[in-house]
Amino acid sequence: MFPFRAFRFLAPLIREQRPIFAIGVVLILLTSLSQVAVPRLVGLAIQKLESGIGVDLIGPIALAMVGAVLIRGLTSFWTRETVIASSRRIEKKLRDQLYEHISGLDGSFYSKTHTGDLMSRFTSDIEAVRMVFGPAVMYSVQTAFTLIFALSMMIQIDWQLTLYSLIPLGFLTVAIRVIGPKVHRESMRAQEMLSGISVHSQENFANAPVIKAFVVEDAEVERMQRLSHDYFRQNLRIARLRAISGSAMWLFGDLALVTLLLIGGMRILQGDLGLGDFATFNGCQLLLIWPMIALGWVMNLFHRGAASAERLQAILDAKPLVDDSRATGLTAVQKGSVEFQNVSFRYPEGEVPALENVSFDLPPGGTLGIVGVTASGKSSLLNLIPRLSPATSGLVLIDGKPIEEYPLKVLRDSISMVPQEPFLFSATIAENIAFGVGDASEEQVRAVARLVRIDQEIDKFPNGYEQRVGERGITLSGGQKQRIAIARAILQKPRILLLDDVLSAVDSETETSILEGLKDWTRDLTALIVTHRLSAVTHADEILVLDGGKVIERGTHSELLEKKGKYSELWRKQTIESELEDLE
Amino acid sequence: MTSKKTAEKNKEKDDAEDFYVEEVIDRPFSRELAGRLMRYLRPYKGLVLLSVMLILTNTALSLIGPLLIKEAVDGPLALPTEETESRELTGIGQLITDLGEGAGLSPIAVGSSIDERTQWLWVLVGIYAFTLLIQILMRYGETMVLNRTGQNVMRDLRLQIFDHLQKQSASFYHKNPVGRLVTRVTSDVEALNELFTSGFVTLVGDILAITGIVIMLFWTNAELASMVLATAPLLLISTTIFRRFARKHYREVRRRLAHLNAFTQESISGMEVIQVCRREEEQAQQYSGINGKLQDAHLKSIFWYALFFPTVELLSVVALGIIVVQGGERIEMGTATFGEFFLFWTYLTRLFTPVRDLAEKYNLLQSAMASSERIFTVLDTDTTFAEVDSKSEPATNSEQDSLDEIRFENVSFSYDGETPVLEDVSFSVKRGETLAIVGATGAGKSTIINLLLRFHDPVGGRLLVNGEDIREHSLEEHRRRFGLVLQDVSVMTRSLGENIRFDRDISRQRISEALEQVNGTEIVERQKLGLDEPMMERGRTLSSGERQLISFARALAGDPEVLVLDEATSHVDTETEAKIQEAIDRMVEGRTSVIVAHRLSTVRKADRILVLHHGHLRESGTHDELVEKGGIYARLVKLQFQSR
Ligand SMILES: Nc1ncnc2c1ncn2[C@@H]1O[C@H](COP(=O)(O)OP(=O)(O)OP(=O)(O)O)[C@@H](O)[C@H]1O
Ligand SMILES: Nc1ncnc2c1ncn2[C@@H]1O[C@H](COP(=O)(O)OP(=O)(O)OP(=O)(O)O)[C@@H](O)[C@H]1O
Ligand SMILES: [Mg+2]
Ligand SMILES: [Mg+2]
Repeated sequence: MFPFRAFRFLAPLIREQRPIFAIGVVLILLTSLSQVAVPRLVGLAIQKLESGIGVDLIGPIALAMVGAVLIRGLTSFWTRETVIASSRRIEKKLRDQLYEHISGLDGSFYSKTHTGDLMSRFTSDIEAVRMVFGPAVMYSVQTAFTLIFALSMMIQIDWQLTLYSLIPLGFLTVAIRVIGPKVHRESMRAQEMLSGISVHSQENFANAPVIKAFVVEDAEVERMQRLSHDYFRQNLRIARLRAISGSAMWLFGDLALVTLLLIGGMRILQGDLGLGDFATFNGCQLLLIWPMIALGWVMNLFHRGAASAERLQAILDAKPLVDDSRATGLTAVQKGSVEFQNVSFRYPEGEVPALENVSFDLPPGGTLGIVGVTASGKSSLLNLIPRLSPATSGLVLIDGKPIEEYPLKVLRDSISMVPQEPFLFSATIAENIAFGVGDASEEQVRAVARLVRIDQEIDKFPNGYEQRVGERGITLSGGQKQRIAIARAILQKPRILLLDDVLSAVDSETETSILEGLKDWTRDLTALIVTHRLSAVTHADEILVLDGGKVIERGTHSELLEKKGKYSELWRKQTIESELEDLE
Repeated sequence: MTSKKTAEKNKEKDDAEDFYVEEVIDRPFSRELAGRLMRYLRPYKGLVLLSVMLILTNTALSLIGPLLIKEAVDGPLALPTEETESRELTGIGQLITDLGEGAGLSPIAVGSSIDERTQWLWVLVGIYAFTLLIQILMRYGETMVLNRTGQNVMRDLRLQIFDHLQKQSASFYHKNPVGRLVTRVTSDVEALNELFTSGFVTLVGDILAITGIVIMLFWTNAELASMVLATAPLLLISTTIFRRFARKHYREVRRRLAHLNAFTQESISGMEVIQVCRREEEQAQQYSGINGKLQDAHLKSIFWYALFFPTVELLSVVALGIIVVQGGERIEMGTATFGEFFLFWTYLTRLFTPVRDLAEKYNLLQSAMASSERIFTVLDTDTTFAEVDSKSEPATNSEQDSLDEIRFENVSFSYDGETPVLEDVSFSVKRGETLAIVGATGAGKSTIINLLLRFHDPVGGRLLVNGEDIREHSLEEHRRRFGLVLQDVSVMTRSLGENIRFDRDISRQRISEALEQVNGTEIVERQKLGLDEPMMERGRTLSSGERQLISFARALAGDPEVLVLDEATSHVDTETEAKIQEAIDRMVEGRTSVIVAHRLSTVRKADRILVLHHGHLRESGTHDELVEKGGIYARLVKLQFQSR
């Protein structure tokens, strides 16, 4: 009935809370006991009244009732304070754990996971699991105890009558068992539909300008209409199930009272049962109806929680392709040479290899230019160096040692990478620049801003360096975003610098002046520069021309020009020599 | 110094929170809001009426059970020795007696035999079972009707919000994080769903039940009832106190939660940067800190819930104690019966359940109110432009007109009203011309595009289309003329083909053609399912150049009058770009284009090149003219084409 297995992976977290849960169980036991005492006392009072013996005991009996409830109040207060609080603690730890885990996952995970989906695991799934360890545990234990105590008391008074009144309650449990899983299944589908609605709106709002520009708002609304309508129908389907189970619960709950009235009444008439005991029975049944109804709800919580736990476990089980399993005790990258030996790479879902047999050897302080047509594998190549993805075959060496031998932390500490599309946090400009280092002084931030020639623009903003940049840096121009990303990278003072087409949104004047400024800063750095503008790599020690993942030409700028191959053709296109002559 | 710095840091942190943490509205119930919500029920009047009737009868029927037990205890079950013979029959009792006698039963008397009494018992049980049966059917109906109403309202509201949000201007989107807007369409609407389907019953049903029970109690035994209800003020006080604190903590919890979610979302989007920068630990610590604050807020609110429920329980038992003592005394004196005692007992249990329920549902109500206020705030914010000048009928006119000229006339613009971005910019593009805009980064090139497509209206000056102010044109018609490629990625999670078709009426044939024109057939070949290959969020599994080519194909596929390219090929190699250029040139003679590019080889052949500098138009002319002139453009040419 309870899908416990799904929660097994939470054992360590639960173990920590075990003593508190134990206290909680004892408290619930006391709660249930004092709860059952009330109908007993009422029955006693009626017995006294009916027989006319010991009527003066009524006052004390009433006091005892209040006393029982006082105890019960205290215990149930502490139950909540212990059990529910524990569930919140488990929730927090679980969430921390999940966050830490996804921080360690790499591209192989993120390239197939939708942000909205991952978010829903952090919100609704964790909450569903929390509900299991809080209310669900609390109510189910309480129901169990109440049932045991009430039943043992009822059996003591009249076991036959107990049996009769149990029949409707039995039906109730059957109904829950039959309908519960259905509700569960349908709810899961509704959940998915809702997440579809959420993904659709997310993309719509994020791409608002394009949608407006193409004037397809109506089509988008129509799409939404379809999604909403499916969701509407699904919810009605669930409502029907809930309506059936809900009315069944009321039916069986009240049916128990009817049975009591009939069978109990007949036994009274036969003189087998006193009115006082009848009252006790009545009270016990009143006590049981609510927990039984609650049980249906609790079962629901368990099923939902189990489904959510499985979803969480799927994330926690995801292993990064890249880890420290082969790391040795290397503590730093000393010189920073980079060597590729026959490296090939294929994306897990990719049809064709993104890189094939790429080799090069870049000495410390050297500069490698990488050029090539779109989708030739340039970004994929750069991603291999900080191990954002692992090479499929071949070796990537830094200072002669395979990069797997460096602990990830050491490796990435010595590498800075500026991705092709810069990502900015919705923080201030200063925070964005200093993101890579814990404690940058204002002067340092200003210094790198000057290097990438963005200092004057920043000074013009109303709040200067404290200007907030909006989601993904939406309030900045394309070139501004790129330059902030570069500033962030060089502030980290890496040994190896990877630039992926990073000045594509910057005009040539600014570009030249940035490259000029960076020269001093990067003199001792090993640099790998991907670009479509050949002028940015003319000074490189070696230039690779990629096509379809293979190196088709290599050499220095002048060597390549002499070859009269792809590179020289590109160069000619970009420079239009005739016009250069005009200028001179 | 450090303390000052930390203080500043803290302030920053608060600011960071403010960006995400929306005004938390803690109004538990506002008549105005409720009234506005009710308006959404209007189209479903019939359903609402039906549900109210169902709730009403259901509540009434549910009150009958205890009465029947009372009748049984006082009637057939009363011991033969009892002297309660002369009891007056009221309401139900009378009805039952009539019913029984009609069936040929003789009234209960001291000397009634066990058989007679059993028959009476059967009558009572029969009635009980019958009301139960009706109740079941009604309850089923009630749940269905309520859900149908609720779901209908939800769907209407969701579509209204979505529709409304989509119409908002670009600046609205700059101010509101996407996540927040998504919340409006999803969880805020869901919160209302709860209100309509279960909250509504609880509210109406429980209030009805409470009233009904109180009336019944007074009717049965006014004296006893008034004594029992003496606990009511205490109940009221404790509920008020509870509500006060629950509200306070609710507010805190929501605040923390919003912050935590925003942080999570951003971390997920920026994970690669976090990893490359090795900030995982710091981020996790920060996360744990925010998470901890949320936990604290939760823990604090537990206290009040833990306190409230036992208090209600205690009060209910105190009331029961009063019945036991006072009722007992009266039974002794003969002014009350055992049946009445049972009735009071059962009713009391039923009275306190809704009170507890109400508290349980209080959170629900509260979040529903908060959600509806947020929803209405959004619906009340209207940043759409006043679209069409009502005097003319331009929508039809402009349909026929082809676009002959676009003119910027002394246009000035600023995003925040403070920093000028464009100042006094004037130029024009004629049909068939290619206009290129160059200039340093941040000069305002993309801003010109934004104005051209009317994402914003200029602060000063105006835009003319065919000599008429564009504000007098239909926004839709205006935008339909353009095929736009934006600087930022815009690949969405739908199939590759759908990304190009983009909800327009475009054949598969044309899609393939457009892909060919942008030299992108290879992209399709590389996918397992070809054009039907589903794309990931933001086109994550494509190279940057491929993403741009897809956006480009999207713009071309619609055969627009004006092609607007904002750095459309910045990540694409020169060779591919040249091929695209050739294809476009072949495609339509006389297509108008506006091109923003840093790569001068892209803009060289343009009919006119505008050079923008710090928001001012500094030079304008053909490539050759500008090179001749020896100004900014000539310097750029020299820099870009000279080998170092
Ligand atoms: N939504 C916005 N809110 C406030 N300021 C903005 C916004 N968008 C752009 N800006 C500012 O306006 C100025 C011009 O930006 P714009 O995007 O037009 O530049 P651009 O010429 O396209 O530059 P680039 O070549 O780098 O893309 C910049 O200083 C930028 O910071
Ligand atoms: N996450 C991924 N999953 C599957 N395939 C991918 C993924 N990322 C890139 N690819 C594919 O790998 C190939 C190489 O992509 P890569 O990004 O390395 O190209 P690139 O040379 O950087 O191109 P560009 O000049 O456009 O930036 C492309 O065909 C691309 O579609
Ligand atoms: Mg790339
Ligand atoms: Mg721009």
